[in-house]
Amino acid sequence: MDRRAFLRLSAGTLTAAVLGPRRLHAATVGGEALYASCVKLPNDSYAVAIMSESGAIQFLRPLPDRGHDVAFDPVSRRCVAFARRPGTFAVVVDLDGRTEPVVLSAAPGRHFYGHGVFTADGSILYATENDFEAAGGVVGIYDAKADFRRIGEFSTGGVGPHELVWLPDGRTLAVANGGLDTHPDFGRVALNSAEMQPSLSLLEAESGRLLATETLDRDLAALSIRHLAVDAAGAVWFGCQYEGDPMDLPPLAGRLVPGRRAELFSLPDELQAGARNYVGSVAASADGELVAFSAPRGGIVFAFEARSARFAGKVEFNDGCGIAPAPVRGPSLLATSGTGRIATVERSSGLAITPVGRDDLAFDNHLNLLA
Amino acid sequence: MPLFASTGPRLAKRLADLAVASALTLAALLAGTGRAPAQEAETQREQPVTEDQYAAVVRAIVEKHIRPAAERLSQDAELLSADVQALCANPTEDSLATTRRSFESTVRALAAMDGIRIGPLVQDNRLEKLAFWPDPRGIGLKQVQAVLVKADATAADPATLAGKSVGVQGLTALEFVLYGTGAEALLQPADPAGAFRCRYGAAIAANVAGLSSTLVEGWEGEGADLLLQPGPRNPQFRTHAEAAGALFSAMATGLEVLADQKLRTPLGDSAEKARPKLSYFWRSSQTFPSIAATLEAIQHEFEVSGASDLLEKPQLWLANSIVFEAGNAARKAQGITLPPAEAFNDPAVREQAKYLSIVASSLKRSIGRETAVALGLEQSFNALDGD
Repeated sequence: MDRRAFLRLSAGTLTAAVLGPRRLHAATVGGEALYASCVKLPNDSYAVAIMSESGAIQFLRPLPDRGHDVAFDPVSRRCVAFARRPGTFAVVVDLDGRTEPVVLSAAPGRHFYGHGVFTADGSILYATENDFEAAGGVVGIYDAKADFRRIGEFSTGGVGPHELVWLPDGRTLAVANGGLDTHPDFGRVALNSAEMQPSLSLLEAESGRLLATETLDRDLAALSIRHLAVDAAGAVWFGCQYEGDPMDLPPLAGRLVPGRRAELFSLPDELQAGARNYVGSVAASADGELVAFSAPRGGIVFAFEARSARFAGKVEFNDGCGIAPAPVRGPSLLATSGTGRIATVERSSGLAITPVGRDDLAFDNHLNLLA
Repeated sequence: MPLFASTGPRLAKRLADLAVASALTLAALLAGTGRAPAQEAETQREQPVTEDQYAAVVRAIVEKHIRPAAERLSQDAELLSADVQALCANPTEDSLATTRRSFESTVRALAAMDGIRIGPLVQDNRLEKLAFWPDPRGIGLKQVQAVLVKADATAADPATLAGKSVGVQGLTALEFVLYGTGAEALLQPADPAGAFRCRYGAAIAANVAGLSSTLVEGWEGEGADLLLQPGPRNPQFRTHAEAAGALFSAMATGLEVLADQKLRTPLGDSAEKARPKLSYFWRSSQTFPSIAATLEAIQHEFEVSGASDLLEKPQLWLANSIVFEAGNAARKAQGITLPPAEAFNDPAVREQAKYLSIVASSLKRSIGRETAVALGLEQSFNALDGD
């Protein structure tokens, strides 16, 4: 990142959030916080589930096909569940059931990558998309106050964008450019795994201006940066999936402190192989002090202390993938699995997991605290 | 440590593995809250399959299927390399025809490895180097044409070719050299463009032969160890069950590629919307012969795996139906002789191709899901096909 970009970002943190992230209070039912996750039902159909922190499903809304992540606007209390790549639908769900779900379609020549975020005032929705003839990543811009009309797009500065998150300034979007080129003619097949260039971009949301692009060292070109979370200090943590030689054991977690070079963190030696070179999602605890990574192929969740970047421990969680902050303001998270389990993961001497409940459905990739 | 001290390193490692295994089981029990989930109930067998039995399945597949398949590819590629050199030295209709026959055989030998996209074949981007496909935007084609137009000398030397883009160094590139627009120049050695085209072809063939022999070595050494020696330090597999599961998943992946990418994509929604030029090795008319090769290979792999001996009575039909369907579909694919550029537009062939695609999808389910579950191999949702 260049120095000017850093200065802009530093200045940004001092100004009031105009667009950006910060949560007000979590949506609740009966005093419990609400979460959303895409799910697969026992009859092999797909839905988005709204549930309470104790795991009780409040309601399900069907999806045309497999979903991925859910964006939430606390102002209008609407969720948008995105199709998993290379899907072309997004479904708007009103938390209070005042309106029927609305299905949005990707623009011609675009498909969704599964992730999106609202501005803090709920006026704009940003979604990562593929301009697949040009093989370029874009952020689609939607007017949430006008039936989610698509009002523009800007380049993500890379190929195969995946998750995007707000920096604390509320104006800057961090976008993980996974680096994988795909084309809907061939579904989810990576077309360029030999020549990937993943990166982490910082973009000014309002103008679409690329502020900085962080790339990893050349020997880590196959390390796809996919999922992001922001910690208490405003650093962007990222989780990776390795597309290179499966015998390699590259670091899978990283942190970008705006203005500095990205740092990568390996698991302790004896645990490194256990993550199977694949992180499924990243989330910070509500206090932003603990950053957790799910590794569903290895059946583990592991975490780092946000400030010291010290390894905080790992727990076994079979097919566990969704993670989100627990509603309490401590070093604690909620996690879900493909086997329908819900558990809390929290800091103890290392990391501890406590079952909360289980449902007869499969929780998909991501869990979201509706806040 | 006193327990481990007297047992020697091998047993100590086994005990350590067991400790890990029981910790996992315990964690799974603790995480449970009563009711068994559907997918966990399905895996119940009267007699659980043992780790030794899974190890035997993996060993049988490596020794009786994977190693011979890699060996065949390597032999075909060596012959192809010699044939391209002979073509350049003595360009005649006959030597071109001979070279094309070796090329086609090599493509089928590669397609026979489509159900084993694992280990050495996926390391160091070998699969993409051997064949840059799919290529919906024609990137590889443009790169190959650029090499030919510029007569790029670094592409005509195997040593420097290997460091160039994956799109210009494998069988898809060689196919354009041997069959694509301007291939007749190969028979005009006095024409510098023809001579260069041949030298470039020879460099590609040498590169493919080199990659294939690396595969053979990989499957003799480290690549096989990856599957045969699971454990806490193995980067991919903790248990023999996981290694066996990965091999069945790889068969399913090969069948998915066949059904979706090799057939459904070029078929399109209608004859008018067919896109034969997206199909696998259409210039050399190897689309359907290579599909047959993949199906025969997966049938062979399944048979030698010994999976049918481990299936319990109620599921025994699965093994018979897999072998029967795969063989049947392979014969159907062999029966399609129309060149792909016409076949995907031909109403009768379209029906046969659709049928093949349906059979391949159904085989994918039978092997990747039903057999895997019947053998007690864990099926997970996020872990298998995540994002």
